[in-house]
Amino acid sequence: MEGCGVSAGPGPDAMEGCGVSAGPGPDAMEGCRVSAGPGPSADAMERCGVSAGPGADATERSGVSPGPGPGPGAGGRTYFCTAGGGLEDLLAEELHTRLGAEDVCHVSGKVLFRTSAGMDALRRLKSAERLFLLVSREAPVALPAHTCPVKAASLLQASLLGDGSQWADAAVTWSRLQGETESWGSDMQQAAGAPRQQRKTDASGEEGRRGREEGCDGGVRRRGGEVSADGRRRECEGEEGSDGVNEEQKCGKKRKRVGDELDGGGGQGEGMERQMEQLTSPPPPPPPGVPSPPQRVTFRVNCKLSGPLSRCLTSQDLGRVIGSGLCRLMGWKVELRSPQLEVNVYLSGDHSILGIPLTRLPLASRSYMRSTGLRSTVAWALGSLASIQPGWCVLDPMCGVGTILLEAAQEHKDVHFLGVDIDDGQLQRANENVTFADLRDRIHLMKASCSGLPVSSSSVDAVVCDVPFGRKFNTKTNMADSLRCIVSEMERWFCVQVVPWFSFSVLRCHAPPGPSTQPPQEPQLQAPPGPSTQPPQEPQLQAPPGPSTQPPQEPQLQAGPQPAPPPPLSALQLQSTHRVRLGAIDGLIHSYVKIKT
Amino acid sequence: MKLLTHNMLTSHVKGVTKGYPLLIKATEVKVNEVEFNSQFVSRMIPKLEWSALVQAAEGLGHLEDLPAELVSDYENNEEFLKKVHKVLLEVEVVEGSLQCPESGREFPISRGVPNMLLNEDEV
Repeated sequence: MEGCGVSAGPGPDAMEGCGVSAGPGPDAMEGCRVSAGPGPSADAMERCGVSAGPGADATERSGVSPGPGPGPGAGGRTYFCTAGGGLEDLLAEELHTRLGAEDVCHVSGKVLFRTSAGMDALRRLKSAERLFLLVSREAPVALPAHTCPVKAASLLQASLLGDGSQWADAAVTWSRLQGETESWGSDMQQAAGAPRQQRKTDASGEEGRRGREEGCDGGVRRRGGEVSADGRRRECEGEEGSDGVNEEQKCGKKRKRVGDELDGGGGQGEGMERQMEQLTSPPPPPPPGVPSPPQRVTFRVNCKLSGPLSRCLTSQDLGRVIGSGLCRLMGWKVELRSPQLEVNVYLSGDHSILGIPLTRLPLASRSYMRSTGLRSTVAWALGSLASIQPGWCVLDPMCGVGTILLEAAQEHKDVHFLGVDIDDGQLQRANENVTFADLRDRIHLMKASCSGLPVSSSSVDAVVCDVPFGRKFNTKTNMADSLRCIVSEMERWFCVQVVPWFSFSVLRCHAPPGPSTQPPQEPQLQAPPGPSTQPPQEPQLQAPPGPSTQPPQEPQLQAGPQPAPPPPLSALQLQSTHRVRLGAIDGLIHSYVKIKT
Repeated sequence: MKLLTHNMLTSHVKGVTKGYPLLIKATEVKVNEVEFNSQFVSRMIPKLEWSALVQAAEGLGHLEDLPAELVSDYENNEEFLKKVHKVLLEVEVVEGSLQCPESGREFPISRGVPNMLLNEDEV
């Protein structure tokens, strides 16, 4: 999700290149930058010639758009989180229970909420991808047909940016929240260090300006490279919750190409920049403890565009429009490489959401996880759906690197977790993970096959599992058959609790996400294919797989600590099904409860 | 392998009827200090096969004076819980093996992880 958009600022070159010379031309923009001051005073605006262009039009009309301000009034601030497809309702629930959040509402991929909880609590959210301060939420923007680029830009600025008051509020709130997060250390260090670099004297003349521009280009190049590398990695993992992966990659590549063209000049520019840094004196240190509103904010814009608007506008265009709009409206300065704050713009057919990310790293990247398997948010969801209680023994029969257990163990102190895997390499990494997270007391590991687990019957209270089937994991056996064994085994292990069942799609691994709601994996597992709410493995449960798996357990039942009559095979009852999107593939989380008969 | 895990394990070799408890043959035993959590221990105790735990702890030389019979009212007996905590979570078999009491099949333990994988003809 992050970096999905375009970090397009209205550098004079960019403006000219794309022909969006709406309102203030490059010169005017530059003038705007030179005028150092806390805000865009009317005076400064006039000097920039803003009032001449359609930009002024935009600022005036924008007073109309209301937009809920995230002001620190009664009832807390308004935030939003991005969430993986299908996890929105779980995130909404988590917000309710963990933060007591109000006004929780979710749109596709995002959950908006209001809370007075502090950053520490916000950062502990588990099912969210990223956390943003909400600047404004508007109705979807509709551009009339055949709008010329100039008109489109002013329309967008008018409807999205408002009169600037909410941006000023947001910047103050943002910097206050950054103060709160200082204790989080390394994560924010870069952001905190950034202003020092950027606060160069603006009167450094022609040379300095040139250096800065080219520095920006360098920023484009580097950023592009990052994004494309990132995009590739995600595709490999197949775990990106966003459906914009392809778009991101495209953007990344495009920007890389731009960067290549500018390669020669970029190095020179960076050199000049360094020179300049030496010339400029360091800024006075900010007074400690007192979070001051950012005087000269540097920013960059990330856009994500979908819906009808994306047919007449690219993310890059939108980024430029928003970027130049904010420059003019707020006197902020574009800085692509290491801005103080980022502005994320999500426009779709349903909503327009503008926000400022509050953490540099996504919430979903866990500090306690060394190597990841399943996406951490989904892993957390599995544990959460199992409604684990104190004193339980929770088993993951195919634990891999232990992601699900680690997520669950973070939440539950009084629970014994047992991770089982058949692969030494995975167990090794799981062991490292468990040690790294300092959870060796609660998470124990064992090597065994999930089709023959050496645990006493009914000794396990819950099973959490990411069932790896299909091509993704290159199994040679027929997974439908294996699944039958696994399910009957699962039933034996655990007493009366929930089995969150997570299944990967097989066929969609390499297919782009299509509009079909019927996942192709169901017919594969289910004898009668068809749109049904029944889980794919249910029929197999009802058709007993024969006596093969039952007899060996009987004696253990008597020997086990809690003897219980062997339950019928249909004792697993489906509680809920969640469909989650993991990049190009879908997954299903099934929760079962074992019914005592 | 901690004794808490051992307490759950049974031999699942084909044809075995009494595969519990597994005999521990340890060649390397480590005692790592683990933060004491009385809630956790007292919740685990009812799930344990007490005699198997005592037997295993004795075999490793870390009995910690645990009684042969589980004491009543252990929830409030912190001294007792601390002993159980040590046996359950601090004593760890790093190298060695587990043996099925009936078939004699041995399951190796290496680097603290028991390998309970069976050959195809044993399933």
